[in-house]
Amino acid sequence: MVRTPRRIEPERWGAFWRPTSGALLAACVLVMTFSVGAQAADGACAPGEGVTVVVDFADLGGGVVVRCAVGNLTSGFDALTAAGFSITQVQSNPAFVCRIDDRPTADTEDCVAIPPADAYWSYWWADLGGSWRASQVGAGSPIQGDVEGWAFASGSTNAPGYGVPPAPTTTTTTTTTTSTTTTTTTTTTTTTSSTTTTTSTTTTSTTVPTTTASTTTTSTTTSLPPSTTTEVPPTTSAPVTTLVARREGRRGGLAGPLLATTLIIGVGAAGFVISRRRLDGSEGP
Amino acid sequence: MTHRRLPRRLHPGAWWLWVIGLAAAASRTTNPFLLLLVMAIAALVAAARRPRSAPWARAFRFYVLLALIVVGLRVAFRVVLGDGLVGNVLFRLPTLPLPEWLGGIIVGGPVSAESLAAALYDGARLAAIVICVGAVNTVADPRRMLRSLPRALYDIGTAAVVALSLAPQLIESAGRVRRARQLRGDNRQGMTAVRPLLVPVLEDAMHRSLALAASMDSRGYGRVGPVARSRRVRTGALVIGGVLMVCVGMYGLLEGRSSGWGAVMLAAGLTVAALGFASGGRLVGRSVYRPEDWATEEWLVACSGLVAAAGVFVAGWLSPLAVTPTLQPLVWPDFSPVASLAILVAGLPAFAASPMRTPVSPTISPGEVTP
Repeated sequence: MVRTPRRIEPERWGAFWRPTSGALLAACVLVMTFSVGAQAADGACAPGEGVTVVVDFADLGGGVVVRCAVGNLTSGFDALTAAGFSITQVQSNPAFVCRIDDRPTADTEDCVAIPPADAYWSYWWADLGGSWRASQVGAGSPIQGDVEGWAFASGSTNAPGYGVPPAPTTTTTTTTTTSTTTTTTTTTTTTTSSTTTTTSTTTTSTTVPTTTASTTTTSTTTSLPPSTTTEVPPTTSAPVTTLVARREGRRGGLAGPLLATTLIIGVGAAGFVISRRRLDGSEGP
Repeated sequence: MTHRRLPRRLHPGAWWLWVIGLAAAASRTTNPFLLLLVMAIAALVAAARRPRSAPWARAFRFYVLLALIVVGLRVAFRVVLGDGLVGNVLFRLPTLPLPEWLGGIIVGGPVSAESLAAALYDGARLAAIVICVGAVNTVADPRRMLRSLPRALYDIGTAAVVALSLAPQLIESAGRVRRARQLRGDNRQGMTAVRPLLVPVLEDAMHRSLALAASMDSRGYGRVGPVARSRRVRTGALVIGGVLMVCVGMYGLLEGRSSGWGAVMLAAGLTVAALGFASGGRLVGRSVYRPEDWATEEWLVACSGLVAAAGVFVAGWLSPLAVTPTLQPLVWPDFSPVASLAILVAGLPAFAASPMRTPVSPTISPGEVTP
């Protein structure tokens, strides 16, 4: 499979909004997580709603997760984050996805270098009604097709274990409307009073159906074969990082960096003092 | 009776083992604080153990300058080419999409804090390794390594040592040429002073190389004596084949996790190379006048570097997030006491090794003229 990196340009909120947005998003994610049990399970998108994202965790455990990503999606990364997955990119080459939903974990994959060929996330796409195709471009490129697939490849690369939804079926109804004009002819009745003779004429009205205009409208209604209902994630047009809610909730404190800085300054000062003493000509250590 | 130890220069192999350990520790981690600690320890040892009388030992600040250039280049490339690490956008550059036949690369675009942090982490790692190499070139004379190489590696080792001494040599020549020009009244500073330096420095380098080659030839370097050609070819083939197999085995080890062929290839390559060394050692009849000692201090220095490497690897296994901090989300890296302590141990040679020779003060002060 060709893994060609491309650039992405997502929209992100500034660092000032991150705690607020993180709290809001945590609440939304929690609500979503609990409400999923109440609704039907996640599923593919309704036609025209958005892009279906399929993530097959395979050997990592977690099965196959299918969600719908709606909104303005410019790349595969957007689709993943809009569908509610948290992604981590490779540090040295961010066009590669290293972790989805924090799997594989930090003890097996440190995300500094590109993951090896026997444990990486493979990227697939498909059109509705088609079959899975391995993507020839990276996740930073614009979305191809209607269904995005991610499958964790350990050893052999397989397509995601989820059937591509078939193409939508279209029903066409033709209605013909005709408008008719009615012509009525009226005949007047005259009665003359005389002795004993009356003549009456009857009024006859005739309607002649005339087709003057007829319009034919064809409407197509697309319907998917019965499947699970769709579930819309709370994100809107701007994909937002869901990482704050998904992590174990540990923010890096400042104590560690302060201690490290003190160590570095101490060592630097020792070196400076030693070099000064040696330059002055006194005996070295 | 003083208990002060006599000053002596340590075996250069000990210093090279020390720096290999420190550089391995630096290449294992991307935590910027650990990398800064490695750089500080290398600078400390270089400051404490630099022989003051050696002209080749003045080049450390140029290695620091090279390290800064490396970091600057990495950051500039990331900002201009835009790697697109998803995160907090700091500022935007105008976008310039290149055509498809150039790869469809988009130049410019939003620059995120995560992108800058990734560039700094990467650059700091390479800068730490450059400073480690600078430190070892400051404390150990590269030409003395030649005396301690195994006999079969003599010819290759000569070329390697001459190449290693190129950078300090050029810096020393540039300093000498500049002093000569200043004595002649040429006080130009900055970039205009570089051009008149180029030709004399290159000429100086040529002269020195020719003089070195002539002196080495007159001492018998490169002569192999009455040895059968087939034997020499076999030795060469064994050594080169062994080294190639070691390279392939290293690639296999670093590339995948599940396959074991990398380790097998590495072991086989080392065995073949050792056979080549043994075969070549019998060929060359060279004796060394005053071979370098390997005493307790050498063990101490070498082990301190290897302890640093082992400590960082163990810390990487115990707390991976402290050794390779995550960028999404961008938080302060964790502090790893194991890794920090291990790197501090590598600073022991600054204090614990044998004392440096103090320079003899001049008997005639400037201004005094002997009759």
